[in-house]
Amino acid sequence: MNCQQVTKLLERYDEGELPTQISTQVESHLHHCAGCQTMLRLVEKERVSLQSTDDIPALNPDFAQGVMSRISVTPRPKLYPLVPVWVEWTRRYPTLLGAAAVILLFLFPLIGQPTINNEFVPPTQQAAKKVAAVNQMQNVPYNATILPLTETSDENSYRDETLRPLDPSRSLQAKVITGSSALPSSPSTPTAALATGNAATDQTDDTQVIAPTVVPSYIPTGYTLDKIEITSGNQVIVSYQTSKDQPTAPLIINIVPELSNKKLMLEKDTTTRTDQPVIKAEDNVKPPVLATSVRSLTEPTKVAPVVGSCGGYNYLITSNIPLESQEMENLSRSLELR
Amino acid sequence: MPVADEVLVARALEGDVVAFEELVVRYQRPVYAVCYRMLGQKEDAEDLAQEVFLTVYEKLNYFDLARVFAPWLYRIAVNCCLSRLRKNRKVVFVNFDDGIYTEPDIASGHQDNPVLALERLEQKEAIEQSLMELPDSYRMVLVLRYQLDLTNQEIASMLGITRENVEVRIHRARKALRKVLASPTRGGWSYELPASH
Repeated sequence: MNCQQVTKLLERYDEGELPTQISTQVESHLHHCAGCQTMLRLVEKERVSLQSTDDIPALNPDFAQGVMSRISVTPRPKLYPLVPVWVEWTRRYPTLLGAAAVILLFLFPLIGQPTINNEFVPPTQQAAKKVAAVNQMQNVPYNATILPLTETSDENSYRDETLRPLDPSRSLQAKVITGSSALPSSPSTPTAALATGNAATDQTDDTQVIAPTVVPSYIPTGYTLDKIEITSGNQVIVSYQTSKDQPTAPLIINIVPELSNKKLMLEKDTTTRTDQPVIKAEDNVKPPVLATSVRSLTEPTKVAPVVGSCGGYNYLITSNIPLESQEMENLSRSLELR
Repeated sequence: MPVADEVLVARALEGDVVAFEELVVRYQRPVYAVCYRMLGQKEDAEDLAQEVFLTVYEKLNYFDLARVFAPWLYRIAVNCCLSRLRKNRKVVFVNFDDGIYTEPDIASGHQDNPVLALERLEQKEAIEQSLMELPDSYRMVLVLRYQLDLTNQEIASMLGITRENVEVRIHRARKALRKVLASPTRGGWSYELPASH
């Protein structure tokens, strides 16, 4: 390497961003080149100056209070964007609305009466509605039985379920068994055979295993996979640590019908070019990332998860069966990968 | 372990003002540092930092809780800074505080070697002044890289440019700064930068 080449690489060398091989070459050049050594010292000095905050005047100690007093007269933000995107667009471009209205007027006889739903429904409610709709459509009586999360792929292993720590090399499975139409109808109160599987053992012919599995196939640079949890609130939570030792947003996914029998994969987010991982499901199924469930990290809901299946449809049944702590432990297993 | 930012955002969305105040306290310094580096004046920077947090509060319901809060906040800060700089170019301010000059406390940091302290102070002033002479887009990249310690990739996604573009901007801006550091006489270095875009 000559001086010109080394000078170009000095910034990255100083910040430790060079590959080892090139870094060694730069180092060997620096050993015998006084000019480049001086340049390196200058680069270091410059970086330190750029990182320094000494010259920034101190922030007013009442700054936060000032912000909060201005916020006290600001309307409180809503839980969801109140105005759907298309409403914003029509407000911003009223002529667009006019043009759309004219087009609709012409198309009206062709397409029949349009139905416009103005109501904004949060994603969780949307999922619930979908479940209810599927439920109603099928009109098949069912009896859902939950089994504890298990590490095995053996469908009959629920019989001798024990509280063993999960093997990190295997994927988590939420095993759910549904009954058939021959079983007594109880759509509002699904029966839960917790930890024992007693109700389900007699119905093995109609057994359907729904297994949302989490496969950590991608760990971004600087991130350490902390743990993967399937909570009792029908959620998959993937927690990370970063090398910067800052708390990171856990990825939270609602287990919904579309995800049944799908593998969930942690992948690099190619759309935003950040290192933040995203969760994708196989077959391009987009897992609904649950925005409102952050609180459940600290306050897990003591509600049994029930994923149901009937008439060829897999769906989520919400249930209000309170669980004891031991049962919670059975249902919400943590996979410690550290 | 402190409560995650995103949990605080979720609480703020449910009406917990204290949770939002915690976010303000956590991020007031980096946001203010960015504003100061971009505007170069304490009062303007504080005012703009307040505006950033107000915007964040107003747009909180647009934040995707499955993502990390800090980059989203910094993106708003960047947008507010650039928007304020554009506005400032149209208005000429008269700063009434210009006449009140307080002598910097040179000796406090380097009591043993006041010559070194003076040298450092001069250098910092030179850096600060040189930074202010850089085109906004170059200065912003340097501030995000060295004051907020963001990666080139993070900066790229924040500014909507490629990572290579970020690298080029950083390299050119540093090259310009280095010339200032190498020669205190400052001879026309700002003309060697390509136009801001």
